Order: sequence, then structure tokens, then C-alpha cells
Amino acid sequence: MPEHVETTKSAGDANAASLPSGVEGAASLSSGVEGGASPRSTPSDNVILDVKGLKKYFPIQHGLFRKVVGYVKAVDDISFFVRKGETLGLVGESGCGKTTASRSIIRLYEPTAGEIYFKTGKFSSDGEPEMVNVRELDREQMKLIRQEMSMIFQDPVGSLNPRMSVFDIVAEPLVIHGQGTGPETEEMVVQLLERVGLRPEHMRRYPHEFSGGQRQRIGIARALALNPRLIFCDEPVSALDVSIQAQTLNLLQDLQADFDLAYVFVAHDLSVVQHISNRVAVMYVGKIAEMADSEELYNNPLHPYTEALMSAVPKADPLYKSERIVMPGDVADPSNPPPGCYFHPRCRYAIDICSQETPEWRELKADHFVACHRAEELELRGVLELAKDKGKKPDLPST
Amino acid sequence: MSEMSETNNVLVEVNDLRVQFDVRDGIVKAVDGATFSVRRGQTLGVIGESGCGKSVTARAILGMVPRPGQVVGGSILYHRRIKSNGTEMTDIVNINDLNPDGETIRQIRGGEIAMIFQEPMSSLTPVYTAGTHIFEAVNLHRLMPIHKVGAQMTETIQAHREVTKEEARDIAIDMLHRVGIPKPEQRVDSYPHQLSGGQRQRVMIAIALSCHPNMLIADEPTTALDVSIEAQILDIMRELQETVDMAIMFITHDLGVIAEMAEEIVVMYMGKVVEKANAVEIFYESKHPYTRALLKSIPTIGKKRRKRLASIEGMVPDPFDLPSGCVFHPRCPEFMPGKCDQIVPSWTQVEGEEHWARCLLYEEV
Amino acid sequence: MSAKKSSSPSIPEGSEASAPSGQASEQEQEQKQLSQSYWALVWWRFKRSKAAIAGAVIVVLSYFMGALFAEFFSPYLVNQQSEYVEARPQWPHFIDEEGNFHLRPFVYGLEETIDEELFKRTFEIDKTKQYPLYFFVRAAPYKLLGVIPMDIHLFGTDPNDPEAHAYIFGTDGLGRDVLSRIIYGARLSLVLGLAGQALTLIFGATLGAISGYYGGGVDMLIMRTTEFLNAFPREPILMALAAIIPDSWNPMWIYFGLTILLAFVYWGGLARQVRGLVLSIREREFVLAAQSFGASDRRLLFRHLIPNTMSHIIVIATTMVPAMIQSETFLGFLGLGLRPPLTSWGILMNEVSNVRAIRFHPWLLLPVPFILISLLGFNLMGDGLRDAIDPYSR
Repeated sequence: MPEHVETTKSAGDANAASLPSGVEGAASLSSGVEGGASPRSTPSDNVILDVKGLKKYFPIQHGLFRKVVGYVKAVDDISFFVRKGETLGLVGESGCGKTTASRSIIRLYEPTAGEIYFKTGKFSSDGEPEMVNVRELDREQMKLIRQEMSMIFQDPVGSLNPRMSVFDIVAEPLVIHGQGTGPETEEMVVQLLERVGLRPEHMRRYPHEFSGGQRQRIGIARALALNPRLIFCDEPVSALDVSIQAQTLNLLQDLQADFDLAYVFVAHDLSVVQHISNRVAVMYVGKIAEMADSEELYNNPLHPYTEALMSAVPKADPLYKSERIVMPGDVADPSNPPPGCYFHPRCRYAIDICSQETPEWRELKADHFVACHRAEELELRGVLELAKDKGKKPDLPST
Repeated sequence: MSEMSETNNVLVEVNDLRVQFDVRDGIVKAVDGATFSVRRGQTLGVIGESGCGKSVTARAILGMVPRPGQVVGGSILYHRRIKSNGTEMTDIVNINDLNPDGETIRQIRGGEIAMIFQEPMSSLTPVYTAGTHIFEAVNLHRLMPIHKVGAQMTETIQAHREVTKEEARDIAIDMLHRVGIPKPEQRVDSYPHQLSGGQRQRVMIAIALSCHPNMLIADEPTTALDVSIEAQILDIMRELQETVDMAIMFITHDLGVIAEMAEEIVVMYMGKVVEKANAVEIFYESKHPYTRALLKSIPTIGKKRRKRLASIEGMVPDPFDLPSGCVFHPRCPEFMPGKCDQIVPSWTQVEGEEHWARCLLYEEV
Repeated sequence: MSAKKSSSPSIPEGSEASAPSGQASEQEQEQKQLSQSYWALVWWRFKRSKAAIAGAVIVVLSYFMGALFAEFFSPYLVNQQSEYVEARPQWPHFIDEEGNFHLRPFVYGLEETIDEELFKRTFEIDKTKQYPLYFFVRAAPYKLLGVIPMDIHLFGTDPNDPEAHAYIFGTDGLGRDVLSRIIYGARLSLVLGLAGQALTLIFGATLGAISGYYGGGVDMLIMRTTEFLNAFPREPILMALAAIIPDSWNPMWIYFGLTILLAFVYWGGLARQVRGLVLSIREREFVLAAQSFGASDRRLLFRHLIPNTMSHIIVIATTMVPAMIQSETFLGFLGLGLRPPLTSWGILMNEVSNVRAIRFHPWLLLPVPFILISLLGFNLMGDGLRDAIDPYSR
């Protein structure tokens, strides 16, 4: 199990000097987001993915000639980074843009704006890893990058081609990259299947013969085929039964340890995300509200949405006593978000400025980022540790 | 919660219920021996994973098991309070004996026992035919996409109460207000697709409650909703329960939700009830290995991050090829060879009055 | 039973073996079936429907007998005229007037009479003459499949008896055997249906797939075109375009022209359906997965999109063939489309398209049940295919 990676202290200074030279766009890394108002913690050498100002807008078209009348701002200026071997959780409710964000980074959707830096050695003359702007790659180059970034999908039924055998499915990435011929391929597939806990004899079978949990394992095997360093897990356990969820999460953690993988783990279930992630970014209607270390987040949230979200999650303990913070109204509409801070209509701490100005994304504490006008002054409540986990035996009420 | 003795307070008693589905590949024992009771004003939680039979049990209580399923054993006793000659009596009705199309069950459905489901527009299960959906829509007063919300509500209200159309409309508006729908006078004339998922679910609750039922069966009502909306719905349900003193049978696979809502919990696995106890005991002192394993396998907020989850080995068995003896034995961490694979455990009292389990660990064999 | 989550698989996972059951062999069989490739699975399910098999048999037989070996199966040649003009059908019998049973079927002969009311010659059944039917007889010569010279027919009268004749379904205005013409007619009609459908498929499916896959301006253009064409009612368009085909063209050209015409009228519907299929498949996660690994457009189309739409397209195509056959029949009936000396079902229908024919020579309507049966066959087969291709109907 990889150690909890410490934030390097040198990250106080927005200085490009700590990065390897010869980096495309290195200068922009130091200027920070939003006009460089506050010092941004420069990610250390350990960072393999650095997303800055990512936007993905979908045009809304009307009428016979499909005139563009507006945009769904599915992802609206988000920035985050992922370190080698760690898991970054991306959590939020429906419409928050987490799935769109991960698909945009891997360029399944073309981002509307922003920079995506990925550390790779594929393009440097001496094989040394450098940060490359993924958005500027052409199709051929992008294909090389796809060897290092892969994705696991949510739907165990829809993510596997029903007409292909398990062998074909898992071998497809190899085939696409020219490694798909010969007996080595079969060996590789066997290894992959065994690693995810499936029996190799099942190679010749078809997806419909497997259960949901097994299908997800096939998807995981496929994602591992090219030996990536970063895997986007897009709601990989949401469609699975509770007991299978546990098995699958354990598998993902084991694989991470074995192969030193980094994950971007996208989900709507806060408990799952916090369990598996080192760091968590909470998204709301296309923006990141808060990003911090997992434990830090639930002990000391800085954003009212995080506080309310954690309060809303039902706790598996009948003795958990806590007054729930109820967010009134519905989740905001990404095609027509409220002015200023998107969360302000539902926020119990909202003041005038919240409906006028978009809050800035800033690093308030070490490695703890938040976008809220009142973040400094608010004293927000974290999740109380569940009584049962404290090992206390309660006075059981008589029946 | 109640001070009265058990017999006075029982609303619905399910005894050894058995429901089978006769499909092309064989017989599926969807429910194979379910025993529990729901008391007046109490919330009973039914927890289990997919295929455990919890939804079928709920439908059986309303006499609405979809074809090709049928009830093949056990009884469902509904303690109906009726006024006869000015005195209040309790008439015990066995739902299994009622004619599924008869007058009695129609009165009960919707009027005395109501049901709400997973978010209506997103829960068109492929397992059921369109006919079943329509049947359910009509009989359980589900939200149909093509009628205005208000129209559906007044229809339901008038079906079970002696009121005029205007009065029914007023009741509908009042109910919408009580479930927290803003501007109910306007909303009452909108179509279901014009509302958000959370609002639709509130409307469903409003419809279900508009006839003051004695019991509400909630089958995964918040599973398809966002967490923040789920919290709102759960709050509304609890609030309304207190106001009208209604029993709730809450079915879900989400342990967090059930911990919040239920006073008593029933755990189901492969059609059998494997454990029954009050909520605190289930979470703190569970007896059945499945319950224990389930509790250990969920990630929880507030727990120390990144420890491995204790997952349950293996997979849910093929319903056409059930293991011998105890149906959980292939996956059980407490498996006792020679016993658990040979003997079918029976429903045993394990502790106190109200804690029961189906496990050979607690049975003398 | 909740269907949201996964259903039980047929493959157990983990080290524990499930308890042995008495249904082991049946389960194994089921399992074997399931691990077939997709098309084997489809065939297995198709076989289970009797109606589908019946339909398939009809279709196969029709093409076998009509399209391929019409000359063999017909007692006479298609344009073999005779003196027996507008003769009544000579039904085969096994039992004669005296009640004798003959193993070999026979027909009664024809006798020329004068109908006094109408002042014309007619041919009536003459029970004094009996002509036994023989099988595999030598009769008029032909070229099998257009190449092999033969003169054997499936059945006919005694070749040594110049007087013998057996017009099972009667004859038409030129003394040609109706049964033979029905069988020959099948050739042109059925093959036209198939050819027309093939062309429609190539044209319509390609455009539909392009439209669905690329979207944007291309999609708009193609879809607006199909909508525009769709606005015109089908039969009048068929008629109008068919009427444009000049009479002076040689029959083969007319045939090609007609094929193109049918494709022109029907491609729009197919294109829209294929577009819908491609759109629905394109958003499926397994396509996204392939894209995420860097699959080329070609790979996406041929390995993912087309295999997953192929089965639906085949069903659509199969059920469109009867429509094409019907269109040809319709046009022929009106005297448009194919013309004599070609013989198709449409042309045969044209010969009955007047009251006189129906009133006095009703046996000329005998092509109708054949047309209906072949259309029925296609529809049954198409329905069976549609049920068989759905992999999740379990």
C-alpha cells in the first residue's frame, strides 16, 4: 500500500524552477489560476496530471438550422492535480460534471478550454518524463498517451461489446497499439484475467454469461492491458451490489499497490470516495467547491456544500445523532446556473457578495483548496466519528 | 415506541410467506419463508441485496405479485380496524386469501396500505411488461406520465374518500404543500415530466398519503435520487409519519438509509429472512454472519480511510441451483462443515424477545 | 425481483463449487449454448420458433423453385403458346369417374367447344380423355441456370403422346400454362425484391451510418433529404417514376431501371433506421472504451458499430423485401414497370386486371395465393429473426 504522500513544503512558492526543464508551457504553470492572485502550491515532482482551467461547454441548439442559443456548462473552469500512485476522488451529485471532466481530460470529448499537463516520457528524446500539454497533441501522439491513461466505465452491461469474446475485449487495447499478435498476447490476457480474479478458461466466453461484478473485472483487466500509470474510474461500483462493491474496491486497491497506479475515482457516493481516495475534490454544477486530503475534508470542511453534503449522507449507525443540514431546493441547472456562486441559493451562510461574484479558487491551508467567499470565517462541521467505530458500546435501549 | 402489548399494536403480520416465479428455466423461489410484523406507527426496515426478494414481499402484501409469480404458502394478516355498529373492531384479513381483483383488496390498496417506489420515470424495470406497469399505475396510483399531477391526485383521493372534485383538489394542494412543493396551486396542474426527480418523488408521497393510509410501503424510494434530495425526502417521510401516525415498511439496500429510518430491521438473503431485530442490535450486535459481513463490507464516512473492506467471498448463487442446507453456507465465514451444508436452519429466537435469526450457530442440532 | 442489478450468471466465480444438482446435463447444455458466438446463438433461438422456420422454408423453397430452377419445376416453358387458349384448369385426380383408384395421378383432357352465348371458343374439361402424369419427363428443352441444356421437367404428360396436355392451372389468352408462368414469374419478382433490397441496403445503410456516425452538417443534409422524399406518397411516386421508363427500352434495362427505382423510393426509410441504430450504439460505453484506447474510425465502424447494428439491419432488410415484391406487383398490375415479354407476378396480375378476365377466366387469379404465401414467408422469417437477435430477452 503506497504511503500517504506528503505535500512537499517547497510548494509554497509558485516557481517553475522545481519542474524539469524543456516543458511546454512551463511558464504558465507559475502564473496560477485566475490571474495569479494568490500563490499556488506548485505540485511537486510527483505530480503526473495537472489540470488547469478545464472547461467543457455543450452548445444548446434550437430550431431547424440548429442555432446555438446557450451552453450547458458541464465543466466550468476546474483545476486539480494527481500525484503518482495516489487516488484523487471526484465526487458530486448529478450534473456536477465529474464524468464529463474525466472524459474531457482523456479527450473523449474535446475540452472547450484549459490545459491538461500529463507527465510522460514518450515524446522526449532521452525518455525522461516531462509535462506535456495533452490538448496540443495530434491524433498520433494522443494515441501514445492513451497507453498511459485508461478508463474504467460505470455500466457493466454497456461497457463491453456484446459481440466480442472476453479475450477480444481485453486484448483490444493491445491490438490497437500493434501488440496484439502472437502467443504473447494470449499470455498477457491470461495474466490480466488472473490478476483481476477471473479464470483464464473464461476467455472464450461472451460478456452476457458473466455477472455484473465479473464484467467490471473484465473492464478493469482491459484498462490494465497497456500498463497505464493513470486510470480514470468512472463510477466503477455504482451499479454493483453492496457485497460486490467491497470486492471490487479491494481489487482496485490491490492493483494500485501492485502496479503503482494513480486513480481519478469519480463517484457520487461520498462514503466510497472517501474510503478509496487520498484526496477528494467535491464538485458542484461544473465547478470544484473544495479539494483536500480525504481525512482533512471530512474533519474540517471549508465549503458549505461539503458540509451539507456530508451531513446529508445517511450514516450506517442508528445512534448517530446529529442535526442534519438540509439544503433547500434542487441541484442547480448547469445550463442556467445562478449568478455569482452557484451554490448560493441553497447555502445557509450566503451573503450579498455570494450572489454577485464567483468565488476564487484558492489554497487556504496546505493542500486544501476551496472556492468560497466566506471560507476563512466560517466554522463548519465535519462528520462526527461514528460511535460504533470509537469502540464504545452504547446503552442499548430495552425492547 | 409503543407501550401497548404486541397483539394490540400489530398492523401487518407476515408468516412464512412463500412466493414462486415459474419461468422458462425453472422455478425461482423469490420469497422462501419470510416472517415479520409491522406495528402501527412503527418503521420497519427491510434490507437486502438484489434478488433477495424484498420487493416481491412488498408486492405480496398488496396482493400484487406480478406474473409469473404466485404466492404458494404462508399468510399475510392485515389487522384492519373497522367501525361496525359504532364500535371499533379489528378484523384480521389474510391478504393471500383475498381475490386479487376483488373489492376488499381494492379498498385496502391505496386507501389503507399505500406504496411508493423508486423514482417513477427512471424505474421502468425491463422485467415487467408494459401491462404490469399500467396495472401498477392504476392500482397503486403511480404517477403516469401523461396525466397532470393534480388529476392523478384527485382521482386517487376520490377513489378512497367521499369528497367532491373541488374538495379533492384542495386536499391535493394541501398535500403538495405538506411535502414541500413550492407554489402547489400551480404545480398541481403540471405534468410529471415538468418536475424534477425529487419533486416527483414528493408527489408520489403526497399521492400515497392523501388517503391517510395506515401503512406506507416504500420500495427503494430514494435510490435514484441525489444525496441532498434524498435527505429531504427522508425528512419529509419522518415528519409525516409523526403527524399521521403511520407505519412505514422501508425497503432498501442502503444500510445508511435504513439506520436512519428504521426502528426494527429485517435482513433478507435469497428469499429468506435471515435476521430480525431492532435497529441498534442489528448494527451493534448482529448475529447472522451475513448481516455481520454486510456491515463490515460497506465504506462509511467517518471511518479511518483506506483500510481494506472486509468483503463477502463469492457471489450470489444461481437461483436455479441453490446450495444445499443453509443457502449462505458457500460464502459464510463461520461455515461448519457437515452441518451448514446439510441442515436447513430454522427461524430461531437468539436473544431477548425480539431478536431472531436463521442460523445453525444458534440452533441445537 | 429487482432487475437493476446484475442477474445471476451461468459461470460461478470463486473456488467454491455449487452443490451438484440433478439438472446438471441440462444446465451444461444451456451453458454450451450460451457460450456460442452470437450468430450461433441467434440460429439456436430462431430454430425454436415454428413459425419462423416455416417462414424460412417457404422463402428458401420459393427461391429454389422459382428463382433458380423454374424451368425444371414447370411443366411448360414460360412463353410456350398453344392452341388451348383460355382453357380451364385441369386438376389432377386419383380417382376416376368409375371410382377406380389410380396410383398415378391423371388429368382430364380438354375439348374445344363453342359457347353460343358469347360466340367464342372455350375449352372445357372432357372426361373421356385421361392423361396420366409422369414425373421427370422429357418435354420442351431449356437451359438450366441459363447454361446447362436440359429437357427434363419435374412432371408432365407422356412425351410420346402428342395429344396429351396438362394445364394444371389452366391457360391464359395465348394458351400459355398458368402454373408455369407463376413459377417463372416468381423468378423475376423475387429476384427483383432481393436486388432492390440489396441496392437499398448498400445505399441506404451506408448513408444512414455516415449520417449517424458523423453527425453535424452531413447528418442534416441526409436527413432533410429523406424527409423531403418521405413527404411524397409512395405509390404515386412509384407510378410516376415507373411511367417515365420508356417502353422502347429493352426488357433488361427496364429491369435494372426498376431496381434502381425501388431503391430510390425505399432508401430513405432504411437510412433513418440505420442512423437511429448507429446513434444508439455510438453512445454506448464500449464504443467510448475503444475510443479511449485510441481506436481508429475504421476499427470503431467495423469492429464495434457495424457488428452491433448488423443484426437489426438484417431484420429490417428481410422485412422490407416483401414490400418491394408488393411494389413490383402493384406496378405490374397497372401495366407499369416490367412489361411483356417478361413474366413477373406483376405482369400476371396485369392480365387479370379487367372484369372480363375475372368473370370468365378466374383461374388467372391463381398467382395471388402464391404471392401471399411468399410474402407471408418473408414476414414470418423476419419476425423470427427479430426475436432471435435480441441477446437480452432472457
